[in-house]
Amino acid sequence: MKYKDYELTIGLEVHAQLSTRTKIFCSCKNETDAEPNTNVCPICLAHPGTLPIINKHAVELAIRASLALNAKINMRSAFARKHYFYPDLPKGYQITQYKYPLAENGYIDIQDKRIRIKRLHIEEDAGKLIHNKDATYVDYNRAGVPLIEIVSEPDIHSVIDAYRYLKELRLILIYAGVTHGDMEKGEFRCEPNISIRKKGEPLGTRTEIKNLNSLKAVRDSIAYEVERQLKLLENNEKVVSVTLLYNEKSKKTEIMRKKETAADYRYFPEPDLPELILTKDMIEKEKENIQLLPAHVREKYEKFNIDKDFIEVIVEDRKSRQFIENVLKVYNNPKSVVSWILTDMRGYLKQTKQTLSSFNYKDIALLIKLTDSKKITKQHATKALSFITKEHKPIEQLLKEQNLIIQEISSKDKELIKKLLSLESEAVEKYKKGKKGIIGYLIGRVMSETKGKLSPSKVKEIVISLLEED
Amino acid sequence: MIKDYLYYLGQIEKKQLKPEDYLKNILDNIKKYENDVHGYIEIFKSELNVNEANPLSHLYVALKDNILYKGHFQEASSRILENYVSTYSATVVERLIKNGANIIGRTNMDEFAMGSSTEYSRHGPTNHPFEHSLIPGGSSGGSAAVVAYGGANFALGSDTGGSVRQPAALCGVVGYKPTYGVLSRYGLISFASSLDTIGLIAKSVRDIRYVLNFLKGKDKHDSTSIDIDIGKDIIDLKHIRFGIIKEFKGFGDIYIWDKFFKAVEKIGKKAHIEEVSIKDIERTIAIYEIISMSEASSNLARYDGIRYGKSVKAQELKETYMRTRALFGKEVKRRILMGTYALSSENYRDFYEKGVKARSQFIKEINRAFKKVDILLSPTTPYLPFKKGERLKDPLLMYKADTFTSYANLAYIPSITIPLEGIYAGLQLSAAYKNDNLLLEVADEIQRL
Ligand SMILES: [Zn+2]
Repeated sequence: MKYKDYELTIGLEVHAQLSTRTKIFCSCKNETDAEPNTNVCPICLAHPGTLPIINKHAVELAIRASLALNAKINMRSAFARKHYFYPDLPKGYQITQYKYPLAENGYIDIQDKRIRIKRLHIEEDAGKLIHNKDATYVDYNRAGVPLIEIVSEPDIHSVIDAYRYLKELRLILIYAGVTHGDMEKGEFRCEPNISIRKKGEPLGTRTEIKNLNSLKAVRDSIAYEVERQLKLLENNEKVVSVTLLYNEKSKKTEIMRKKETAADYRYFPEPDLPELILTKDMIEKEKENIQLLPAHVREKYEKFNIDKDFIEVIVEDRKSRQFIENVLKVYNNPKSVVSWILTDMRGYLKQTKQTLSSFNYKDIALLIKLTDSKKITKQHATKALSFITKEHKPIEQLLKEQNLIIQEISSKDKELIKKLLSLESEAVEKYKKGKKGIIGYLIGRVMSETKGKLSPSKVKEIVISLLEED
Repeated sequence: MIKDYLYYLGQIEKKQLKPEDYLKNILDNIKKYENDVHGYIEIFKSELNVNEANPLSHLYVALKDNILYKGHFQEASSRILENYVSTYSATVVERLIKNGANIIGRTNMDEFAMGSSTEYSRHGPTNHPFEHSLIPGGSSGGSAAVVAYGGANFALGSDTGGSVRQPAALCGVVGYKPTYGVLSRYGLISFASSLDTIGLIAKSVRDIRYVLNFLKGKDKHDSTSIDIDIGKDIIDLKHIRFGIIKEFKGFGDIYIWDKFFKAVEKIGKKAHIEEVSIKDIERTIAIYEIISMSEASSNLARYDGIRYGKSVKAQELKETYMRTRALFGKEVKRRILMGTYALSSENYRDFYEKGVKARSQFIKEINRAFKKVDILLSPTTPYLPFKKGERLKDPLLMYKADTFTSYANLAYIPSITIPLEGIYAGLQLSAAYKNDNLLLEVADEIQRL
């Protein structure tokens, strides 16, 4: 932070929708983007006389999330009701966990820092308001979708750490198969709260930001809010406890409402649901269901001595990772495979607006292998991408047909090189007088005359030996 | 010989009574009494049939208006649910129908089951079946009254603090509140979730035991539901230890106590009776009030005029809420307010939390008593049916109707009332948690003495 007398504290409350087939307390489909109010029933509309029944799979996914976040799981936890009136909340209360959450005291590591997680609990999502110019409508497809809420300890003191924490948290949950994690769809949501204090003074007033649907928005909005609060403090003005809305266009936060008094949610234990009692078997089963986490992927590729930036791409992009893993099964040279796919091939795909899925990993493995063994040049390997998907022929045959394979230098080629050098006497003279750099020109002549079929390094060898001979 | 459902069923089986004559008899009773009693809100006459050969054929069940019956109006006597039509049936109703029972109609009640006299109803009061100027008790007053005058041979009510036993006692019929969870609450409009049970009303204990077998047991729609066994053990009263609850003695009407001790004398000839002291049981009514009102304030939050039921539209959302929820009756509003107060963060420790602690303390006390005795005895109500309107201005007096009954709800235990001879009051028997079978066997024996 630029004002070094101040300390920033960021608290992050994350909600992740669990990727269950059905909702948390009824058998409606967990499919929020269906036609409005098509995935609803008496239970999730809170009709009289209905009762909640806990979805076992939601509990399993929440256990899995807790394990992936190194949290201590409570074998007994309990549900509670949180009351407030809003049209998207059918029962007039949300069923959540309050005093007895599913899990506590977890952590995740971001680079060199450990961010502690205070608690993780299960709760239900609310519906959604749709504002029209004439009226406001409510869509209850989302009402009763299972959520986990993950609350961080006040360990985050910079915007970049907040960003890294969220990014890593999201990846872990996606890897564990707990959530689809699409922020645009609201499957992974974050509400940061921000407070700044003069070092040594008690915690400052917190403000909260809502309506953030990308990691970038989270980062930018916090940065904006930090500046706003610092300015106030520098001018001896008070920070007021407010909820802010982030406007992605103007990149500014706007005050949504003042928190005059703390809302009284009148929590009390949910009498319609028994305590949630877990068994060791349930937990063991979820341990087995966590097969891969981002940290495992990092560890694996770090061993291959691969560039950190490449590793992060592999960790974050599941499609690239799977493709690379497949290629490695055929051709196990991680360094060149990763770098060719993530630079040369990626560039080509971007340019031609294609995706990895249009390629067969076996073809790509062979292309990289041929490049590594100097049978084709890197440029020709990229060029090959334009035709290898179009024809169903063995790739080597295709490369030959296109004259892209580098040929061994024959005596005939040697004669040709000799003849070329004799035509370039001026350049040869310059070389002999010590202008060694001109060799590049000579090699270029040979390459263009032979249409790139010869290996440039071999050509160089021969040219030098011929020049040194005389 | 009590002319109960099983008696007529026997006659039908022996071809001494035609099923259609049996139904006609019931409908005639309705014709004769209903105008003066006003126990029903609606009668589903055209839906009744007499021919099915199922275990519960010829059972004509009156449903309290807070137990859902698909495709029928369901209002819990509240203006806020005016013209609401149920989209599904309660589990108990499903089980009744599956076994061939007929639903004969829906009965009047105190709004959302909050009351002890069936006067707090948007349909007006129900009268005592035989003394029309008096109240029938409540909140299941309609159900108790129609069984009493023969307008149904069975009824379902709900018992949160005594709402089945108390009107059953005042109308002179049998009313049973099972162990919490024995009858699924799915489809019962919630009042206080941790206390609510569906209760059964009939002429005899044996009718109740017979029908209970078809309704009881775990339900996948209610995670608080449980299984119990109801067998037919032959019980000799001389092995049963009865305990009269000492702390209740002397509270309430002396005529009731007089008849109560006459009944006790009769039992005493067959069985061992002692006096048993249960610490603070006379004060459980306070715990009951705190817990029931707190839960009620939460359960009734869903009636906001947004998705169903009556809605009073306004420009502002808050205004819509306020005007819609103003449709609740006075007593319901009173309880929502008190419950909201008890749950507020400021008062939670002093009220709700204290109530919950006192409840678990009380359960320990009552379990201690059940080590000494098998059945607890007391009158069902401290008072006889009183004049309509008499207590509307004094809610605290009205709440006292639950003094002898609400402890069973707090302790989740089964409890039943059977009529005391010559008076509109009942003898209440309670047993330990899940001892419903014993309770029903003993009550059956006593009813036949
Ligand atoms: Zn649903």
